[in-house]
Amino acid sequence: MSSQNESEEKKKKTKKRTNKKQNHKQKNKTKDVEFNTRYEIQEGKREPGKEDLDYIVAVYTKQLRKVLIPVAVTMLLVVLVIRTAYKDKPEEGAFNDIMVYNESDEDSAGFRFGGALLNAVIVIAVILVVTLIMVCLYMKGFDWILVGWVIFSVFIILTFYGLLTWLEIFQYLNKSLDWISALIVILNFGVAGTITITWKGAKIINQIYLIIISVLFAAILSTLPEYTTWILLVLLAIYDLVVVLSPKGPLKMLVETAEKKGKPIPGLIYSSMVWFMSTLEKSKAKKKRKNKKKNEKKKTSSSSESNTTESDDLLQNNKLLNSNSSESEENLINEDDEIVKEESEENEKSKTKIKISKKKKKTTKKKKDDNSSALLDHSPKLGLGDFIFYSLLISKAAYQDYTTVFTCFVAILMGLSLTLFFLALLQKALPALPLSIFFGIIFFFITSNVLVPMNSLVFQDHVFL
Amino acid sequence: MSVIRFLGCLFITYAPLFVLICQYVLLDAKLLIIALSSCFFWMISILFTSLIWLAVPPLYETNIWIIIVSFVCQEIIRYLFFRLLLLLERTINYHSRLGQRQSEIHYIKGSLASGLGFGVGYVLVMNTGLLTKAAGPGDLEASGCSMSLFVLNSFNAQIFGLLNVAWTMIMFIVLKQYKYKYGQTREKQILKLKVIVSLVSHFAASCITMIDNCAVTLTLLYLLLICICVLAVYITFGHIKGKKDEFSTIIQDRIPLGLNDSNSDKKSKHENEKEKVKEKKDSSSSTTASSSESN
Repeated sequence: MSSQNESEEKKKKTKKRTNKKQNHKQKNKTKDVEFNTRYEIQEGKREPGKEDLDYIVAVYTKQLRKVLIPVAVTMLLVVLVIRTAYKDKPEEGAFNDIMVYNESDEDSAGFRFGGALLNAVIVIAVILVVTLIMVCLYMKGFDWILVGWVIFSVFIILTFYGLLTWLEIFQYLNKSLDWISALIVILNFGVAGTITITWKGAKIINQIYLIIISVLFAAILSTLPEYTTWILLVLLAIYDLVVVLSPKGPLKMLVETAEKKGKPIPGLIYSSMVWFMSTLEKSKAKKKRKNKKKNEKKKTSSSSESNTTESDDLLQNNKLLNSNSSESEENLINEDDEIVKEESEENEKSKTKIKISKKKKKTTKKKKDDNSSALLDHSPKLGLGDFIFYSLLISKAAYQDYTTVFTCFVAILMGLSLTLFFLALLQKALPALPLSIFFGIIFFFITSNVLVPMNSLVFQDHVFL
Repeated sequence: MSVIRFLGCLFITYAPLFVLICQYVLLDAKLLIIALSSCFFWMISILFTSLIWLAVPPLYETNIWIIIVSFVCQEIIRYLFFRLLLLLERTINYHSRLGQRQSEIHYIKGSLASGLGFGVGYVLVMNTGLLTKAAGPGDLEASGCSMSLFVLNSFNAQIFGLLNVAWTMIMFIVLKQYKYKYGQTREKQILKLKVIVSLVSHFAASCITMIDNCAVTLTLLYLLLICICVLAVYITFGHIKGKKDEFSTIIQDRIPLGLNDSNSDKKSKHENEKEKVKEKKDSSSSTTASSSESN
């Protein structure tokens, strides 16, 4: 039985590779997205080589939980941090030195709106410029700049912003802290984080550190003035949509350069990539024995336990994950740009984050193309930018009420699951920000302004609707 | 003291739903998605009611109008979600293969998950406002009652969460059976009655909460909960006085609910086609292999 299965697998793999190359070229030219509609299946027009709806559903459902849990954990941590430490602080205007227009209650609503719009547009313009610079650097081979940038920015975030939040929390808890122990702890924390993210490390610790980075980042971003945050989120969603789905974007250029270089890993000097390669080789060997968990060094990926039946079926569904890589790249680019102002530290940090994600994704993509059968890269990839902007939205809700928090939470998770569903269906790179931010903003404004007053009126008479 | 009260209220509201969630939803990812989407839909309904409340304030001097509007919106959303679940179940289960039973949706579990989604959404929106205040200092007294408002609210929320589960299960299972009874009007009437009972109980439950005396409200609500849960269990299992055969014939359909496994042996046309395609594939692959070897 096993030999027959292996022979079938080999035949399928050979066919898959040929089909994939042809389909890849055709897709790039014609942009035809074929997927099995209900009617095609009923009429028997479905071709034998294509994925079935049940495969898609089975894979999608298994992947979804692995993506939802990190997002939910980041959002809840952000709510916790803000409700304890940041809520009762007076607004110090942390971004006033950076923003072109400083919001104040004295100005009229229209003036504030215009100023906020100007701020947001400038931020996104800087994002664009920075992405183009990074693309040029990557194309010309200056990867080492980006590597150093990543390491530097991650270290600075973990130490500096970690120390700030730690101090805020201790101030809330009314505890004292001496500078020696703080220095020791925070340095260890930062160094361990940089090592796990940019080099080797256990998968769980890597994920925890990435979650911590996104929590810190979102907590800092939540101090942005109100109008600017909302307009920025909306414009970022539109930007994400445009950049990912446009035919000539920096994303495609990066992918093309990665493919042109022809190496299995696209010319990256990151030691993280070495680690990734070694794990994949191990995974290949393990697959032959049909036994193991495949550890992926990705932000949101978790180990996929390979059972024999699952591996046979799910080998054919690598396309689902190919598409996700670009999505996460773009989101990281957006996230990168969000805080970027010319000489602020934040910019550097964000850029490095984007680079991390990009390069990780490229490696996975390449590997899939070369050895699609050997990789069980089943988890979808979601960029840190998505995490940070979802948690930014939740942080704005956390300043108000817990009911708004929960409604926005559900809206964001629903948007994310819908995008993943479309991803599984269309097998194409999709932006993760727009849908969930759209739902989140609608839910936020309606609950905070309408539902909470209605509930407070109704609860006085202990009436349940 | 306040922390204890907060924890007490928290566990009172969420314990039954949490048990059901741990048993069913967390173990199967499809049910998690169904529960999440049902929660989302319920929140849409309550936001709709709040928008109507904003648009037409003078009507709402008494609470009865808000109750009517929210009841109507919630039931409409429940029916829409029923249609969505039916569509999902049909597309996925029709195209499932014999070896891929993991991707199928068990209809009863799906309806339970959607009910849990509605229940959790309900409790989140209605109860968190007072629950967070329960952790702070001070106490609010409910009008006409010696119980604190937080505790009363948490008991009500528990009941309503479970009632939502029961209402959804009744509606979903009955309405699915409704379609397959073409000429049998008496049985159709009975099914209609069950759905009407659930709707009336929803309205009655929210009206009961308007009563000032909390002992009366709680006793009536718990009795209602017991009755509706018994009805829901009866509908799902149907093991009462010879109705088993009738119910089993309804279930054994092209799209099985999953209680009886007799349909697992049958193969649909689609699966037969797939087998033929597989045979062709093997034959073609063998020919290609032979041709490559010859070359």
